[in-house]
Amino acid sequence: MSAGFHFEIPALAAGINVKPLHYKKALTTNHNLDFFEVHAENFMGAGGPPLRWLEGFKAQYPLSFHGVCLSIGGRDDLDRDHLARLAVLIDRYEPTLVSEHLAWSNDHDFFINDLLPPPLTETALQRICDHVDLVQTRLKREILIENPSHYLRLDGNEIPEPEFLNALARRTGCGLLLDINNVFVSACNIDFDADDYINAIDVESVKEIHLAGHAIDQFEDEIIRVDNHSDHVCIAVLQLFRKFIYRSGPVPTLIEWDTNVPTFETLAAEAAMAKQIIRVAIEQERFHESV
Amino acid sequence: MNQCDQETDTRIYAGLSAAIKSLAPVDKFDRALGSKTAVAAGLMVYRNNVRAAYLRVLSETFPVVQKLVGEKFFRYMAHEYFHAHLPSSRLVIQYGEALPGFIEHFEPVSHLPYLAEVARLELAWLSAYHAAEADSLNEVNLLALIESVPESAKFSVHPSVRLLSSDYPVHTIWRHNQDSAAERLRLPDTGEAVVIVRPDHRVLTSTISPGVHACMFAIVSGASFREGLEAAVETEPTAPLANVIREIATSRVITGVIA
Repeated sequence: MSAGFHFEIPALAAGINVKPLHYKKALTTNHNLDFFEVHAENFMGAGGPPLRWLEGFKAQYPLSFHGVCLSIGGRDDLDRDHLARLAVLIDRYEPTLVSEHLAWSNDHDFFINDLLPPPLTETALQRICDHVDLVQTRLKREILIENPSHYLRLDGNEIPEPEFLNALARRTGCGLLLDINNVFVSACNIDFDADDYINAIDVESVKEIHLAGHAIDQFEDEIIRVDNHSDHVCIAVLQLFRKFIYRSGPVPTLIEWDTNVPTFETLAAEAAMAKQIIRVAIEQERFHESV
Repeated sequence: MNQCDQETDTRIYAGLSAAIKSLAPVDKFDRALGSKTAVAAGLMVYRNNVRAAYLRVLSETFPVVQKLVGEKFFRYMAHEYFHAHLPSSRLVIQYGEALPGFIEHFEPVSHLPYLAEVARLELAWLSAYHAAEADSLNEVNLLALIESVPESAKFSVHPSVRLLSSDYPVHTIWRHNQDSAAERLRLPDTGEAVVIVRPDHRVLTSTISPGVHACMFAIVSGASFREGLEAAVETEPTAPLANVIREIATSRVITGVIA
């Protein structure tokens, strides 16, 4: 599938999801960031400053559009109007990457505005494949699908999530966006082995990685990790990241930080650290191959 | 779909969205495995995430309303609003559109009759901020245009133009609260008419006379320039027309002539 973007993102690349308070620094200062990601839904107005900023990004950097509202994992038909809005945005700003979630955010008349995991059944898989097919046909390009965070061990799942995602990628030709913080948070919350999950993902499908920090909350005597992108990436997540990269080779990696957003410099340093981990992992892999 | 999957579908989609909407005790949720506390904790995360996300939308849309009532009360009002207007649109930015009407009937703020008007102004500001781009005429170009076209000509207006007319000094209240260190305010005892426009990257707001408001309102509604001026005279018979024309010309609301 061909995409009309005008910038490649090199495999060894690190970026951030950029927030309005950092637009100016991102565009006018020297930094080491290779690409920027934005939530597509924040640019669906008819005009105004957000779109003017986006023009600036388009002129200078590869862009990644991360959608949060399509509800691809839902049981309802896709919202054609929303898809049309996304298509207009993509035509105009030619992002290098476009991603969405293995999640639903809408059910019938309720727009929940959160990313809820779908049932992992054959029926749901077929429906989600149809949704992804429709999106890729409408957008005339490949999209990436991100693994969700879990807070509940939902009853009735039949297919392990990595297998579900691999099948989705195989059947539709979509790529995967592996959010390693989501894997870790979910593994802790609903009790599975994060290493097994990471190892089960088909590396050739993964076209982007997300890293983020999370919060540790408590409800009565229950510890729960909340994927609120509020902190540095934790060590356990970085270790999983290194293990995955060791297996996959370099993959464009993005730092997400949405709550208690730090300075632009802190974000750039976090991205630089991720890039350094990738470099070291590649070196180690080469070393092991040579001996 | 086989019956087992159908059941799973209903259990997960209908069950979880109902449990997120609901305020019923979390330990009643039976769609997830694990200890009662684990299920309750997980469900609480979803309930909090959803309400917090919508609260954030409202506080970003209505910073002055939030300042006027205080953060704590605003959170309570947002919670009540969420349950009265369950969100249905993917355009989350529009979530607050019913808030002014909600405030009007929200008993705990019935002693703040201007609050709904301030909310309307904030909504208008936001929609001007996101409105389509267009080039508006400056004073010199518009005055030249007025000279060169018949009085029956109709003008096109900038897509970001929003007009408000209130029984309360709504613009003075709003502007005063942009500045956190502002001193005690002496409010005018009249209402205010306001024009909002974003001719460039910045949203401009200004108080206008009732005559200018009537004229702009007529033009925005598709009347000719002459009809606009007639509306100004009718609303404000004592206002010199030259002043009305000058105010319109400096406002940057006009983009050209409709052919």
